Amino acid sequence: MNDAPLTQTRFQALLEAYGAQPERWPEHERNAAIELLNSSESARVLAREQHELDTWLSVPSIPKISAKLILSLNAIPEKQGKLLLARRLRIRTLWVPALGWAAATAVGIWLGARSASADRYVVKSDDAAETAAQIENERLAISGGLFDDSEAP
Amino acid sequence: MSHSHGREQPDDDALLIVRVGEGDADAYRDLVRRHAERLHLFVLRLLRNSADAEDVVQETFLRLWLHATDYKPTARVATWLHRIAHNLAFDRMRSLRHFEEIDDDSDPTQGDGPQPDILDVKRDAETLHRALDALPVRQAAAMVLVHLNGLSGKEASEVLDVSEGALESLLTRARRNLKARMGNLSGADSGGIQ
Repeated sequence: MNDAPLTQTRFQALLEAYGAQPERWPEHERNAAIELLNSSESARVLAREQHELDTWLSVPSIPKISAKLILSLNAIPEKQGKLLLARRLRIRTLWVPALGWAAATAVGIWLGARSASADRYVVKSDDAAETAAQIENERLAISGGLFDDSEAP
Repeated sequence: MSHSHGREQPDDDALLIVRVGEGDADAYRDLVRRHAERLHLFVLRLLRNSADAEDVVQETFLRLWLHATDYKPTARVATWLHRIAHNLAFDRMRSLRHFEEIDDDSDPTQGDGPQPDILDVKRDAETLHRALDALPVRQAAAMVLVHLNGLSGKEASEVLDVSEGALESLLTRARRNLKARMGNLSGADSGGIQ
């Protein structure tokens, strides 16, 4: 709470914005404004100038909210209740399927990695066999060539 | 409804909203009973269309029901609900391309806006609301928040997302406009206000 004295100018600004009812004045300036109001006749004159508008603003407000709207608002929990319950349950129990999903993913990755390793081995094996077959073919070709040479007249 | 209504039992509101977060429909209905009318009044001043205002109030309370656990007790529940309603109303205004109506500097007493029929006015609630409808949207919103719904200046500035100084400026201009209108009406009735 600010206890610094209020200037007349600031007091007038408060009145013009918030009116003459002290409960509307900003809390940190309220005590000082009340003090000025109690001690200054010119401050009271300024306050009276705002009084009529304050009275006008205090009349019961209309239009009243419709009964239909009240019914609709009160029906929201029933209409949305199942959805909300499902949503909250889903959040609360989310860790169970999440854990299962994570485990399945981990197993999948592990199996995938193993499979990839095996594939690489097979490829290497095929490569070796192919290379061996190629060498053998070349050897036969060379042998054949020598034989052909030896059969030549 | 009175301006003091907004300051009722704020601690109870905070307890109720915790219960709403646990799915307590009775607590939710208590909050509807406490706040629906003031929120409707506020949104109606922003949108100036009853059907749109009712839609926004319903959406506000739907969010309360679904997202009560998001409430942080740094602000009163009333402030939190007004803030949600304000944002929803402004979204709707943007979607309806009514945003150009939010002109804080205009002086409705000099413009072509809706004017109360001075032959048919008395200083009553209907006249007040017609006068509020004639204000620029943000001036009317500030007036409703502080003078009718009982929010403090600080709370109203949070709802409208403006500084407290800017809120005071809105209130000052709004009150001047209303006083001018009131003077016109009174002049028509009884020869002026002294």
